[in-house]
Amino acid sequence: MFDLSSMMQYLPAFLEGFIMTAKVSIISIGFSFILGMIIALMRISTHKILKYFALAYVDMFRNIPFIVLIFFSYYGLPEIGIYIDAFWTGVLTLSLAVGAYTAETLRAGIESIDKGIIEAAKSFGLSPFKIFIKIIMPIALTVSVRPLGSVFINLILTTSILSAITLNELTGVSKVIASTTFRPFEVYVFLVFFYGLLTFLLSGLFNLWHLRLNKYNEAG
Amino acid sequence: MIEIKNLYKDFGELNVLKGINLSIHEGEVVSIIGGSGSGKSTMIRCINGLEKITSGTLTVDGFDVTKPSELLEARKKCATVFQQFDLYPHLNVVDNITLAPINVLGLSKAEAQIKAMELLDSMAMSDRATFYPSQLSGGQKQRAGICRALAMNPRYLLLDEITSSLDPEMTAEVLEILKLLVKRGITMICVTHEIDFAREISDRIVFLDEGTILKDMDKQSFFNDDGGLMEPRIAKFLTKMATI
Repeated sequence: MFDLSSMMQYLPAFLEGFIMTAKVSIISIGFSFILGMIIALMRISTHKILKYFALAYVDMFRNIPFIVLIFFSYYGLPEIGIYIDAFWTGVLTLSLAVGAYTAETLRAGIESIDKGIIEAAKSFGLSPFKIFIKIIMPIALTVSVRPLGSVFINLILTTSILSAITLNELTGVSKVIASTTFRPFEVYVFLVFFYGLLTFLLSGLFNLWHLRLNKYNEAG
Repeated sequence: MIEIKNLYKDFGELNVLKGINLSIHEGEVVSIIGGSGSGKSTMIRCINGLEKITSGTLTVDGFDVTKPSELLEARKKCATVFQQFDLYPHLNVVDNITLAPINVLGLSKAEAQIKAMELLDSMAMSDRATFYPSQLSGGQKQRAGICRALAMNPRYLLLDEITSSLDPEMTAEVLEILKLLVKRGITMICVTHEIDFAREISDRIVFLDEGTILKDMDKQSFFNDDGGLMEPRIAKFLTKMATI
């Protein structure tokens, strides 16, 4: 019989998994955003080496299954003397992989900016850094913010794979509870709810951000 | 003084400017005219450092725009108003105007805003201060563009065909403002198709033809039969412009 109440005693365990998933997600989103900005800038730079490095980076990380990356980092790297715990392996690998998608999304936004606007800023003596922060990013994000939301929701969903390297995030915890209680149906109903909650919160935030950034478009 | 000596600018195989020599002194109003593709806009873009010059020298009050270490100082002295306005679309009018004064000249936000409001007021634009560029008419956009340039307290105002994207009514509106600026004694380098306007406000006319200066004369001589009009190329150009 379907009985959700039997799950109540496992609620603290679920919450722990939820917090772990949220932690990994938030840190990885931060890192991959910063990394994505840097790679996107390299991708559009006129410097050939930077440009091709960024291109190779994006292609590489978009063409390797995430589970392979994570196995490589967690089980492969220790063999050459690089030990990182499951949490940071997860965070760093996710950031590197999602950084590639973030870079492509931001690049699309940056390339949509009218060149004249950037030249105007240059002609007034604004430094490249100021131009990037005050002009390029805010305008690029108005275009990129929604696709970026999808990229980061995908990141949250991908954290579930980290259970494969022993990280006790939501999916990992749920598997344990399911095998203890023999109630996989109830367990995975809970799991669906928790993932839904996380992604719903994130997409809400991105919608608000989108509205804020696009204030000037709607104004016209 | 802006001093251009033996300036060449190539775009690959294409030689756009071929040995330009030009000095512009403080207080002068110089109009640069010439046909499409004669290199007028490229010249302005060399002065504000948006184009790298191929050879020759270009200094603004002694600062060499080809030297990265001196470019910023040169740019602080020149402010450009653009044909396509090129206002920052995500910032309202005041923020458009104050961005560079705050971040380049180091003004406080309050100081920059006071200055911006004064400028907007002088152009009957104060009621548009909090509008975004997308909410402005073409003429208002260009007036905002002029305010943005003037907020830098530039010694030289570079105007790159600033009425070309405007209809006649808005053109008149913007030209009125330029006349006021001329009266205030600001140095202007003005790339324009408005021959009548150039005749009215300029001290000097520079006629560019295929990347060289065909004539560089004071206004009176330029429009005289025994001055610029002696040159068949110029006479033809002016006749053509008059019939448009």
